[in-house]
Amino acid sequence: MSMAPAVLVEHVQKRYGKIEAVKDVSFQVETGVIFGLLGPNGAGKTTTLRCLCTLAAPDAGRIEIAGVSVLAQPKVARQLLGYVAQEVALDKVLTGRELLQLQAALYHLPKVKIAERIDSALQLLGLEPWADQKTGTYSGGLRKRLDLAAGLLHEPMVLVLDEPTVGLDIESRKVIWDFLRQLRERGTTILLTSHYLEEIDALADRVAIIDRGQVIAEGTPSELKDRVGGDRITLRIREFTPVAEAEQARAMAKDLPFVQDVIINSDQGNSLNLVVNPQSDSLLELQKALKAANLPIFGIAQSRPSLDDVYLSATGRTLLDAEMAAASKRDPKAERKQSMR
Amino acid sequence: MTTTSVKPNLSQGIAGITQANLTPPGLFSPEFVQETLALAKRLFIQLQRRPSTLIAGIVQPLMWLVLFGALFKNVPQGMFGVSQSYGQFLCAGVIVFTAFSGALNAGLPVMFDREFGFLNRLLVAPSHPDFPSFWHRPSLLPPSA
Repeated sequence: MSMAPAVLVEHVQKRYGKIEAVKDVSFQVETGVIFGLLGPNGAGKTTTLRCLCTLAAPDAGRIEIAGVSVLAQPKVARQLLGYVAQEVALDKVLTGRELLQLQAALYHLPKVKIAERIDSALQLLGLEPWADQKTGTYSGGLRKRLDLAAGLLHEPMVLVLDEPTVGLDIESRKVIWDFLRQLRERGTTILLTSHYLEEIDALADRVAIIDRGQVIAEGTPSELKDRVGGDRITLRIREFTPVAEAEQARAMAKDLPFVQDVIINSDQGNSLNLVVNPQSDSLLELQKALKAANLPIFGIAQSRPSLDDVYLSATGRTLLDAEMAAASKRDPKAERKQSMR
Repeated sequence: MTTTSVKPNLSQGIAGITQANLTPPGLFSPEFVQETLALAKRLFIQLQRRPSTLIAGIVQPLMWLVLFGALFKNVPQGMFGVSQSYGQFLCAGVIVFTAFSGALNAGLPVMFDREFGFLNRLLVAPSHPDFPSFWHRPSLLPPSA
């Protein structure tokens, strides 16, 4: 077989009625890496994964798993994939072991190997003490681990995880992070989505940042941060700065020689996010300039760039603001109705 | 028709797989039988651990027979036809009603699976297209507007 990437997504589009969930998403995942899709809720991450895992048919575009077209040969592609959805889907009356037995049968594992694989998966994820209890009695962390075990049972080439640690406590997250790193060492390609910056920063070898159905940046976390460049200064003139005053501060700051860019964050009371040359006296010089311009300072802070800054420089708002905006637009009733169709 | 599939060799990565080996199972292949038996086993486990549906399916028609049978036992002769007794008339209806409600209840697990996401687990598995969940496959759904 040729050296095809583990996952190839090219110009995928998907629309649900009036909502354009995925406008144009393209990325490529090489074998044996952890690839992160970062973006706020509603960005199109889950829809992209659903198209990849044959749960939804894209309106346009090409998707391949190890050179196998997901659209032309979905049954073949499913053999190469392991999918762990965002919502843990377990049958409450089955025990953990019974669920894994079902999963093994669905993936046509040889009967002589099923027991061994299940024991191995249970041991790997620390589920042995609870294996023969009904899944309805499991805690959230156990349910997620069982879901992971089910996704890995058939040793897929590509493991697709949709928000693997959402809703979990810190300890459970750490367990899953360590486990994913082990999988990568064993050669499994992992594609995961998350809206947690620290998760992507900690795990991903490469990241694609998705916003409003499009990839707005792609690269390693270090590359993306270096691309943005400079240190970050967050400046709040007042608790809620009038737009005119924010514009005045912005114009003043842009004239300073060490300032590269200034963005007004309207979702955070018109605070200013400055990108500055990494020099030790940036903060002091900025404060002097503000004093000279008779502008007050409510709050000021300096930091190294983060993935949130990458997102901010590309979209003009932070990831948190984007999530809050998406949450306020959601209509749970309509979504429920749509899901029942 | 029997086919075999090669599991990926993780140490070799993609190079360990050949296209020819990645063929899906055919109808009545061992793989098809395996997945069908596994899903049937799941339903039997549900029936065993949550017997309310089975009990309702037995008790309800008995209730109809006993209740309505007693209620209309003394109706004038010939009201439900001269060729049959009320009991015969009622039994036919109860049989049809039992079959109808049984079929309705049989669809409920699929609906709950869809609602709570378990159906996705079945849909992403490489099962045979003639499997009952096939109608959920995106390729067979009408194009979206």
